[in-house]
Amino acid sequence: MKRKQWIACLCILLCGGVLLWFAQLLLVPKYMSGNREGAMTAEYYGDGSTHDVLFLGDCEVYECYTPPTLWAEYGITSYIRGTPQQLVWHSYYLLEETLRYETPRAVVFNVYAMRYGEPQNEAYNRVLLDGMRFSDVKLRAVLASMTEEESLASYLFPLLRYHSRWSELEAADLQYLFHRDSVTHNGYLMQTAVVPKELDIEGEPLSDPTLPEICFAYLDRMRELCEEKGIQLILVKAPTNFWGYYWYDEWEEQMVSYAGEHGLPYYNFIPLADEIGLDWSTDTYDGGAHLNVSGAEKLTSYFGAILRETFGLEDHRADAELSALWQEKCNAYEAEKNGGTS
Amino acid sequence: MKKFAALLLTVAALMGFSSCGEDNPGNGEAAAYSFSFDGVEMRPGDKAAPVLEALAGHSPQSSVKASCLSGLSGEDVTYVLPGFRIQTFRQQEGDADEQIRLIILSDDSVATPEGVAIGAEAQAVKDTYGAPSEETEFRLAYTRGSMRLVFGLREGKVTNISYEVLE
Repeated sequence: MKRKQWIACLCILLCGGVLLWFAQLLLVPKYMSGNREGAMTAEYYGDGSTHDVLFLGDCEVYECYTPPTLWAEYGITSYIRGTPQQLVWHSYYLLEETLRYETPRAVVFNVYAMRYGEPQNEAYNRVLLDGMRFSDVKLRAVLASMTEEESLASYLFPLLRYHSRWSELEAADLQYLFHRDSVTHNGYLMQTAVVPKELDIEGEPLSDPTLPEICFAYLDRMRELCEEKGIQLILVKAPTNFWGYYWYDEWEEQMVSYAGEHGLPYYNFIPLADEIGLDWSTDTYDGGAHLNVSGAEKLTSYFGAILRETFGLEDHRADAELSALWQEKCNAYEAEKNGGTS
Repeated sequence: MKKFAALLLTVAALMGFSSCGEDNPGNGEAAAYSFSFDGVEMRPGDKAAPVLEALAGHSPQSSVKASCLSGLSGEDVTYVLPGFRIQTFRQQEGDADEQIRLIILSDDSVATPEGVAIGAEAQAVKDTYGAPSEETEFRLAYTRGSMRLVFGLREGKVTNISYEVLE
């Protein structure tokens, strides 16, 4: 082949590659309105600062703890790497990835996901894994998480998954082609609506109350990783106990036993709801399944005292640089709270 | 001749039984177990609207399960009635195709039409329903067609009873 032909081939390949890259940018969901949860994983990389506390888990972390409150009341810096139905292996790989960027003093893991021994739905994988930066950790996370219908290739080249979105494209796909707005406050997804809890109903009967072995295996890995890095691992269960996301006594026994066996602190906030000051007629936005901002602030205030008094996390409010950074975050938080976005 | 007539009658009788069986739901399988309350019969897989309408006098209270991920289609709903709950799935409120997925007996004020209530011994369940399709330390399950009747057990006693739709 002559030199000119080589160059022509190269140009065609390059143009094809650029077109495919552009098509991928255009077609992947932007998650800027509607299901904003899909934008949460990637948002972490833009934060830039380090944190005393890292929260990991499902909606029971990103709807229950507010980093701006933890800063305002205790001067503790924190980030929530939570996503909807985050499974234990998701949390493990997010922890492994986060530790490449920073080493927090404490990792707080919400135990509700211990109930799931298998991936449940592609949508939950997508909102977490698509947002992860490419790395060997992401590859391992994808391999551990895929449902039978999913393929590794579609995570490496999301265009394979989203090519059919061309007919659903809207203005936001162009607007957010190269950037995303922030949808959370250090991982906290604000909900300001109030829908009181009116019924106390138990969850549906369990076919087997034994928590899956694979969950304990990944929790072991999280524990070992934290030990290796000198990080305090703290287990928590959010105070919500709704029939659709029920926490059974049999599960509680297993978690208490695991925590005791490994010397881990474990706080189940369900029986502490009154002590925390939660009012189920005002502190939930969906009938008791999740806390709204008022409930989240109460829980954060309560938990902050534990972080300070039991785990000795220091107050950074005298640090001018951190104070300026967090003042901005607190201002944005208050603005959204007062604006009433839900 | 008598033998031939007897044979004919036997064949006819067998065909008669066979055609009766075809009237059962589930294409020849045994009829699905159903739960009955105040004269209203219901089973998993039934449309919810007629059942809820018939039970309206008992003022069922409802609770919708919100999904953690906005944008997922459909929602689970629980209707609380005296002694039991009905769990349904619907696309949105007012969905004419809202379907009963689960019926849960929550206390011993109600019993199955065959007479088993919460608190019964596991052996009493087997005496009533026969050999289960699935038996573990935690439950006895009886599958019929596209539904399953489950007796949850703790220490050999029934702690919950549910009628479940099979996916």
